[in-house]
Amino acid sequence: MTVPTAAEADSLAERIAAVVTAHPAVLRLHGGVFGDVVTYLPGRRLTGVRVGMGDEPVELGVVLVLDRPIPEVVRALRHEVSRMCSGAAVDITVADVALPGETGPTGQ
Amino acid sequence: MSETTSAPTVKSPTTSASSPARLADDTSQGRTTIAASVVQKIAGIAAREISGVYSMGGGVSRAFGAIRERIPGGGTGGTNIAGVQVEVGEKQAAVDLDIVVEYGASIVELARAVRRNVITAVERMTGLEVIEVNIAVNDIHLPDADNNEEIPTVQAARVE
Repeated sequence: MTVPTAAEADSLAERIAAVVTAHPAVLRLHGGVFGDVVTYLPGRRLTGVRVGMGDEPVELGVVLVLDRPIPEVVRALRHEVSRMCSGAAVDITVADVALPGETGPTGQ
Repeated sequence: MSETTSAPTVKSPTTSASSPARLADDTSQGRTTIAASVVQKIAGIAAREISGVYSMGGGVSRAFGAIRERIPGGGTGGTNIAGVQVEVGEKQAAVDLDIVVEYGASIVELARAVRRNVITAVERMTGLEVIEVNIAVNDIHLPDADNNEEIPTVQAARVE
């Protein structure tokens, strides 16, 4: 993967977040087990997406709706995001699940 | 960071035919980490689906679950994960369940059904191989306990 500049990585993180949350089985983004999957943007933090520099993988943290098998969703997300990042590895953490119809807590 | 979630007690992967296929593509394209609470919820829901399971959890975890439900941010589905302990590795999971059965159910048959349903649900929904499901039946629920409370309401309805 080409090494992105900091500004490119930031806007890429936002585009990734938009694509990931657009998936019907993704309830929301999540900061991962330790809350470290975060992109620091000017004025705010984007929780749940971290674009690594160089060979580092892209990290995603998600909360999924439990209406279809998790591997299927993860595979779709990885395919989508990897394509946006010119084939970079994508580490995905499924931090929590919610039943269909149940909306999880809004806090992280 | 995902390394830290793997439990040391879960054995290294065996060459089982049932081991999920999706794991093959993980090494080159990125790692998938499934949090323990995810497996806990799925196992809890699957166990409760079996009729004959009255509730889940030992006395302590049931009391703890009742408290946690009242704490904001204490976790949704707190009732779903009462009585469920899991260890989750990168490819495998182990599940321990505490259940309260209804009187009249064959405990051996019930445990077998619970185990089958939990394994099916967790393997299908997470792709993890379930290496064991340990079930502890720690109480039996007698129908009398409920009937005593219901009798007055039934009689009240009858005289209407």
